[in-house]
Amino acid sequence: MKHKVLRQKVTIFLSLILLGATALVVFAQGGLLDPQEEVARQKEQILANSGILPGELFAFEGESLFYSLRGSNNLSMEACDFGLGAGVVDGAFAQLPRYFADTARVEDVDSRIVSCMRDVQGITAEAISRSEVVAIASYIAMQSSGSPMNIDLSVPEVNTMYEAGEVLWYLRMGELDMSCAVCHEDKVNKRIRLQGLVDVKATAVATHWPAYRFSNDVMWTMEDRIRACWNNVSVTPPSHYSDPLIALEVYMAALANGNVVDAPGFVR
Amino acid sequence: MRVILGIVFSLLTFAFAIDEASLAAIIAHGGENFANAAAAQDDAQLLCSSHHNQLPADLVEAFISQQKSLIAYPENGERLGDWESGLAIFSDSKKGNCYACHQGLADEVAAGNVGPSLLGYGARGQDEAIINYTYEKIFNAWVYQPCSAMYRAGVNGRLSPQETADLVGFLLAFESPLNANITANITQTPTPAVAALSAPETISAQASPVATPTPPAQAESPITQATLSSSELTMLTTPGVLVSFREGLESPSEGWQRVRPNQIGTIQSSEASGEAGATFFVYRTLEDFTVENAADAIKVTVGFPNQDYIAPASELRPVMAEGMRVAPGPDWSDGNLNGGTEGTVQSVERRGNTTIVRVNWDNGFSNRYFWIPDNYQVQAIALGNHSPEIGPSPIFISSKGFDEQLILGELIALAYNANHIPAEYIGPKDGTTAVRLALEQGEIDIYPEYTGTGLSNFFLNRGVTNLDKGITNNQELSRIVVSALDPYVYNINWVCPAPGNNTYAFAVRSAWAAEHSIYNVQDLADYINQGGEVKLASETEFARRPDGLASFEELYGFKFENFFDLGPTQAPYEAAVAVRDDVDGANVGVIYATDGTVQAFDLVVLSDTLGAQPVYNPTPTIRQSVIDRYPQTEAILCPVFDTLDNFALSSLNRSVTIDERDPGEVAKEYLCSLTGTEALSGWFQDDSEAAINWLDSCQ
Repeated sequence: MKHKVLRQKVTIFLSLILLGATALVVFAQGGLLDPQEEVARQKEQILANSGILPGELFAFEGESLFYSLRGSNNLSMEACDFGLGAGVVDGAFAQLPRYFADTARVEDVDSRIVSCMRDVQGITAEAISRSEVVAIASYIAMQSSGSPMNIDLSVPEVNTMYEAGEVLWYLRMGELDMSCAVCHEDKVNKRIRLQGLVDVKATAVATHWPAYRFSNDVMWTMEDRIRACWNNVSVTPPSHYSDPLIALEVYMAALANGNVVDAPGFVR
Repeated sequence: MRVILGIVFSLLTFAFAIDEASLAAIIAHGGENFANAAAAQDDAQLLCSSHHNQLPADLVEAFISQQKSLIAYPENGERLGDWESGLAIFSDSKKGNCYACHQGLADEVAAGNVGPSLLGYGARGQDEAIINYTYEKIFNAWVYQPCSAMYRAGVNGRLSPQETADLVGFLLAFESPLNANITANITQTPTPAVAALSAPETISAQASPVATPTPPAQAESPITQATLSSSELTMLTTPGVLVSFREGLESPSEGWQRVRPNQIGTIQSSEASGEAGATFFVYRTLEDFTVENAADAIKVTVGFPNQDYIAPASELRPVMAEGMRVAPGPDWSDGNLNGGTEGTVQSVERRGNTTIVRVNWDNGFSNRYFWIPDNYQVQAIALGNHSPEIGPSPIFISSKGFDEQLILGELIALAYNANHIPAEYIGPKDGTTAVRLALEQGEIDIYPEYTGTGLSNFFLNRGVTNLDKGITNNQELSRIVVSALDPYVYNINWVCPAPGNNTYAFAVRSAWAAEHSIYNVQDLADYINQGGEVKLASETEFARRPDGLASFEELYGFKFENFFDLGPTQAPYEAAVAVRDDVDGANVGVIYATDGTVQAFDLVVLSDTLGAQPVYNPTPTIRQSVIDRYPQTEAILCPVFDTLDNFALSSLNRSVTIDERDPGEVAKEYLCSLTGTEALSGWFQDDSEAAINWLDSCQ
């Protein structure tokens, strides 16, 4: 019940502040604003207007979902293990993706949430909504804010995913001959149209996803981000929760090891 | 699926730690469509992927020739298509999507900057070589730059040959909006007969007349009248203020040297001349000019680096400078973010025709703005604390990483500095490809390149010309081809090749040379053929390559029988040591002709009079914008480079390689040693202050 009321509030609240954000984006296009400055200004503006960032609203929604009793087993997610034991979320995200013996695979935060909903709570696959997964992922990630990323590559299964991730990072494919590395390693800090190309490795991006994107007003996990990249370069992306996505996440997260998590993020 | 993936990835996995079965399984888990996309990789994509877009040198040639074979042409053979269709393709994100990475229209604010701006690309002209190059670059960018970020539009089927040709039209057509700002200049620039360079014998002639492109309507269009505010007028009459001509007014009539768009001059003086209705004479028309408004009545003398102009104030515009006070301009697009306040220019970035200024507004807001033709987001309203002494940004000079290059880079910077032109040697780049790319993309302005390297790497291997490779062995032809092609294909100039030739050569002890009168390869061949005892110290590769030792033996008609093999790596230093010390009886060594060892070990380099080897004359390669800004470039650099024969280069290299001195110090000492000699008599003619400063610095 509590969670339903909160959701309504969230929706109204977001649509109000996002109106302001969209107006600002239009101005920014004319003015050649530095991408980083643009982000800082948007953030400031939204904080000044509303006192809270959209990412946190999503995380609060996720928190409410996390503690709700749901599914055929009528359990909350406190019964699930995110790597540090059942119900422990503090610091768990900083060690994801990791290998889970119960599912016998390396899982990222998205995939692990789905496993939990399906196997522990007993929610059918069709009933698992993507927006709920994103909200819960935002909550779990927020609970690692301040913890250093720590992906353990000495686990053989994780290491294999890391190596596959490296291959995928450099893999040029599709009719645009694109790879992750072209934009996010070779041509960093340039712009494709108005979108600045982030130096993924140097800026340890794994530490600030899931993130709220003000340019199109959505909350995205890293899976969404990677899939959109591939879509943009005319390659059909891997399906959600699949290994190619998780492999790339392992690669990027491991390269961010030691950097402190600051999630949910706020990006263009 | 597994099987296909396994085969496909076998190429990849050798470069990575993961085994192919695991990789294939992980990719397959992403769904059939994704796995199919991954499996659809062609050989070239795989090579680029596994080498992280840095193709090793030994794979480049085969890569390029394979990619070249994938290029298809329109059925009617016409590669210069319809520019209007090209414009649509350029801006369509589902077709060319070119604007995602390149500026192609001055008013496209959403254009990306991953690739260079293409504004004014048509300045290269419409010779067949340029049309071909442009077509092939779009159809398959990897022929010219393996694994570059640019996608292979034609090869991947995203564009048809006809659509590719239409894009070529958009880039090259005089009428294309992409070329709006250079059309006037093209008609006044005689284009060399690049197309005639298809056979060596026509090169030396160099006289083929060129069809002049149709003159654009610009010549007849009336002078645009601009209404000036009183604050603008004040600036335009203040000595020291930097100005440029307003658009469309950059090209004075015949008899005056051209001014490039956005070329920057300094106000020298101004005078009021009569009132409205009066007429006076200015450069623009070579006719009487009728005063139509107050601004016309002010005649302003503008000093450009090459020449002074007199122009009515209405034709000029103060350009952005640090410290200037500005207000929103006609193309302002930042709404009310400046709170209606004025601002101060914090910094100015000029790249080609584009100026970007950062402005601190008085309400505390700060942002960057375009200040380019047709897009003036801000405009000057007062000088503020702008001080006219603020000069243009320095010329940036780089080089490759070996000693001779470091010295030459420093030398070029010092020569400019001595002549009071700001220039900076920013250190070496990693190899030919990297430093040339930096030059083509405008990151640097100058670096020293070798004629033979330039000819084969940037023209023969990229297929810009189909000349015979043997042309690289001809010093004169090599020089002519690079200096004729480069300005028109890449806007890069080869200014004064040095006489020195950093190529493979035979070296002998000077006493031995004197004893047997052996000073060139022919002498050596005769000596050997008459039964002279010779043993050659050489790296293995040179001794075995068909274009190495064999090329000498064939051309001069002799054969080495005895070898001292120095092993597989390039070892000119070891060869020189072997000859000096008579190691194992070696008396001839294979070295580079300008090596410091020649001086240090008292060796003689035998001249290759018949041209068995490519000629590598070191030459400053310079972006056109530098020549525009400093037309005295030739007068500054040529006297220095003319002195750089093998002896001079070898002495310079010795100081750095053998004596381990600082390249900058060595370069400075060399320039100072030239001062006062005939060589530099052309320097400092109009600038006695520069001369005194320079002499002082040499003390």
